[in-house]
Amino acid sequence: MALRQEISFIFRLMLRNSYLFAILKEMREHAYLGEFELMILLTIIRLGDEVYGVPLARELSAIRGGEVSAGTVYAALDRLELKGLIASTLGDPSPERGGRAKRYFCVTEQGLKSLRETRKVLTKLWKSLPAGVEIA
Amino acid sequence: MKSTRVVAVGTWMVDHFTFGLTNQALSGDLLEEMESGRSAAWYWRQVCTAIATGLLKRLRELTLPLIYCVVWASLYPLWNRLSTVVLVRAVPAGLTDLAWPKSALVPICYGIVPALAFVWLGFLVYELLRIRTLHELSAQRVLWGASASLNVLLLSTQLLLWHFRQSRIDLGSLMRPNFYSAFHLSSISIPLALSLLGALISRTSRTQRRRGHGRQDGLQSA
Repeated sequence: MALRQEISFIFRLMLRNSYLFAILKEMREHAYLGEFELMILLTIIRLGDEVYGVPLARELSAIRGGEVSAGTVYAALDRLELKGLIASTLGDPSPERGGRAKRYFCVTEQGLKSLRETRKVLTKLWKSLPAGVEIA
Repeated sequence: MKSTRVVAVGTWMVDHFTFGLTNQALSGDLLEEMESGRSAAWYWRQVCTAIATGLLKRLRELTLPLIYCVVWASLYPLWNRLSTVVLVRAVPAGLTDLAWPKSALVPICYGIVPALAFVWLGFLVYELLRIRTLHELSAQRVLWGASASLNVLLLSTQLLLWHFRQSRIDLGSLMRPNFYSAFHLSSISIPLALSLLGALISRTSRTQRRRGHGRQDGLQSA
């Protein structure tokens, strides 16, 4: 009897652990975007080609209705580039920028896929709200 | 004139203290905004935010290496016991009676080498544990990390020798089993933890620099 209980316990433990690994795998495969990251990706797509730090920060400030610092935008861009969701290229240096080149950004195929997945999840969540629930 | 000087100082600060890959593009963007009529107050607010953001990002990156260094350095007493047993058996009898300068080799070999081996083993284990970045492991990176840790260890050894000296620096102190545990925080050897951290920091900064160059190479080929 005790042996059966022990086997049952080990089996349940293995099942629970494999479930945990499945969750971790799911989390790794579907790293959903944060709010600011989502805004940046959508703004890059909206502005199209030739988007670099200045228009991006201005557009984000206009959309959010408050100043967005360039440092915060670049930190997020750096993160997105390391994740492979955006790619960047350097332009030519110009005198009004003190001889510094512009860095142009574009969304990669992986970034588009991530956007689609995030939209799917968010839409599902919005639709799953009970009828009559008002979010002011 | 005053404004130009202020901007030059701010630009220099962004270029050097933001710890990012895109700091040149960022400082260029700030200069462009200034040209289009932004105020000096706005400029300085942006500079301070960029530096603070970069610093926080760097600290976040260093959290894992720091925790690892503390955990690894806490294993030193075990390693020390093990190496003492092995080395004491291995010291040839004739070596202890050598005259200067050959006599200095014994404390250096039997004092520094085990500690350095402990740090390098820690560095190697860390590299192997970072499976995601294992493909970036190269002989150059290993050498760079090993060199950084050796420098930090030698510097801390020098400081410890100064700490132990009575009337003159005695290299024999290196043979003490608890030499590197003299400065400790609840059994964690600080010199060894710092030495390992030096290797891991140099590793992180080199990886970032290479990623940055990779992007620029990609641009040039495009």
